[in-house]
Amino acid sequence: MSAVDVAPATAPRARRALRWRPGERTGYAMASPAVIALAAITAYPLLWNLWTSFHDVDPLTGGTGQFVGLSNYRAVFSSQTGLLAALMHTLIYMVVSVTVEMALGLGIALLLNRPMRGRALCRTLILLPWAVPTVVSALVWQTLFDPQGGGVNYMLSMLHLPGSHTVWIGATASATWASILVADAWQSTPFVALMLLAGLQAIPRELYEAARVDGASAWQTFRGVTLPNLRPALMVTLVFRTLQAFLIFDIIYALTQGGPGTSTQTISYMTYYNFIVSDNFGVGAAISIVMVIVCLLIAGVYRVLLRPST
Amino acid sequence: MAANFRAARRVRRAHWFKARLALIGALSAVAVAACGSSSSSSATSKSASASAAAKPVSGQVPASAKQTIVFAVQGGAGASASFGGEGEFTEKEIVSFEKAHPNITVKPITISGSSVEVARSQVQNYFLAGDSTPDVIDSDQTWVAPWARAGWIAPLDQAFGARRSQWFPAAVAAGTYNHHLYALSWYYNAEGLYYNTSLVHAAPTTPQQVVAEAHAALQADPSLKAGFAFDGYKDEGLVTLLTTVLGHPIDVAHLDNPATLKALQYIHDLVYKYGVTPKAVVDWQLPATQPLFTNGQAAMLLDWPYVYQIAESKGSKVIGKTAYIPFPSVSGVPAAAVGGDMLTVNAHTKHMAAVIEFLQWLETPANQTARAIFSGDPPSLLSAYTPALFKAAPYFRQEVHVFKVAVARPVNPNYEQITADLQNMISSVLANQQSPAQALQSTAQQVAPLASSS
Repeated sequence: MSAVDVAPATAPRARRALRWRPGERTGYAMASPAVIALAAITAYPLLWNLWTSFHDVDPLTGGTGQFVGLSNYRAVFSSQTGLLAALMHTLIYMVVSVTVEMALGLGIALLLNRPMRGRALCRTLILLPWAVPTVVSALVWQTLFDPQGGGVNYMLSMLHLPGSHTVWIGATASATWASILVADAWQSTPFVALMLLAGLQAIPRELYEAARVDGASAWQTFRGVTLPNLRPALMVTLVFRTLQAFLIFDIIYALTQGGPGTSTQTISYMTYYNFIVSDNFGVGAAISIVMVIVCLLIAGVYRVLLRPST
Repeated sequence: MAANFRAARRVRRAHWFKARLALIGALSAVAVAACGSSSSSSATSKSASASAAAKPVSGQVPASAKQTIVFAVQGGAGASASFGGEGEFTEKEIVSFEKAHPNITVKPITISGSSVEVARSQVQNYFLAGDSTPDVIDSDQTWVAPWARAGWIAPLDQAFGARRSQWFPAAVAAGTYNHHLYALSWYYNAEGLYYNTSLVHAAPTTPQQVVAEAHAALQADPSLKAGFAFDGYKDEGLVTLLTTVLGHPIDVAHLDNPATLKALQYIHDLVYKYGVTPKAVVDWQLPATQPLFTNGQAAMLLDWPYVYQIAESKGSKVIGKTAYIPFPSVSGVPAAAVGGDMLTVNAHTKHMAAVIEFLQWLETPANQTARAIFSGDPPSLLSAYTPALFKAAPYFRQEVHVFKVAVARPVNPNYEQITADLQNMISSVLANQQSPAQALQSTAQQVAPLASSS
């Protein structure tokens, strides 16, 4: 008899094992309430939105659910409705904010990963901005950005830096976006730092010791040891932050109401506008479905880009 | 070993197959539920979109029967209400009504007092569900036309039509849609011009005089933050600003007209040509504008009546130096944009008779005068401006002149979209992103279809 276990040539064809194993049915039964609840709060709204996106549903004008095909989706991508501009604003903001926050967050995580006095306290304090509700944070930043007596212009003036007379919110699109970015980054960077810190702490020390023994420089160690081993944490953090940046709403609502003009309207803001302000449920639902598709695409792209190389 | 591996793989596939079956089953059930409720909700909206009910629904409870009516109040009623004195007086009114009508109980429920949009959504959820309560709703005047078109609120011509002349004309206009009275003005507001009499020596009678006086004040006192301040933040305040400066209702159907351009240009020039208003105005939001005037940091302020009481109170730097007049609009007439709260009635209420009695109670001159003295809410009834009111709150003498020339905002069922487009327009002009002519032209194309689809 050969040492290699070889299946006999005449082995019967495999059949699917559909019989319930002991305990399996109980397992499914016990998990089903949670699955149904999850389906109700995620799948139900999603399916309702999908249906509504193909119909004219506007309770105020008497839109009674008539099928309108792709009309609502055409409105999403039309330059007349301002939705395309909002989508562009959102995508640009997403790229800029994620880049800034990932860079800052990685820097903070690398610092916090080093042995130093008061490291535990620093790690706790760094989380405080993240614990503040977003609307509260936005209102505080609104006060800080007040051109007449706000802290930002005061500090710039004290430090003799340019921009101390800037009207940050509502005067120009660039200054308004800068204020949104600062408020968002202040709150979100700690989350990025925390996630990446967890990833850094999972990297075995021996790898760094081996690199040091081999005479690698700091940059070579970072590139050859830290970054590859940080890939899983990077992917999770990137997905989270990118989706959060894409879905940004509360800071815009509290700080700028989409102004000046329509310069800071984002796709989420337009969803709110269509659902709550203009009661145009059909277009609002179409925007929601487009956002779901974009979010899935983003997650898929990251999965491909950051998968481990074989 | 390979056979074991293949067997294990078959078992994993079987597990996945069962799990997928279960998931598909759950999702199918949810899908059926979603489509079913979508059909029923469309049926609800069909019935809601029927023409306005001229008669109350069947099953009406007689006024003499023991019953409870539900009153939705922005900010709530009672001492702990969001608006303090206003909510407290509302509770007093309810108690006094119940005393006079022992068979009727009024149950107040709270809707948002801090966000008009949230409050509107909260009430609309009741309407969408076809609920017969709340019976009476403390409404913003911008809600009246959309709700009337949707058939969600009842016309009040029968009970109150004969009393139209008793309210300020703008108050009646704000509550009228398609020639029917759908809302009663509960208390009034109008956006007038405050000025510091120690800095502005004569009441301006033209828009150019406003600029000249503001300029002179800035030269006399360089520490002033603004010669002329107003709410320039991107919200409904921009629309009331345009209405006030324009001097008559905004013509949404033909927005791109010389008068509106003149008003928009004036607003733009206050910042970028005359320099009497700083660029920071785009960040000034009610009620943050009030301290600018009461702290003596602005010579003139376009604002609502609540400022007067504060300006004449302890702590104000302008006690005895406050004047309040209508704004001398670019149309050549004194004007003030109208505001205030309205009372509407749910079209599906089963307590119409009791509701009418409650509204009649709230709309007595005595109650409105008492409310004005207690909480400062200006009465909407002309006859409520009595010597007793002027004795208790002398500033009402000046305010009533502003109220008499108030101008309503567009009464249009598409108002929410119209105001959003107007706010975008005025905001872009104040930020100098577009010239007034460009902004007006592009916005006119957006709002014209909305005006005509009423």
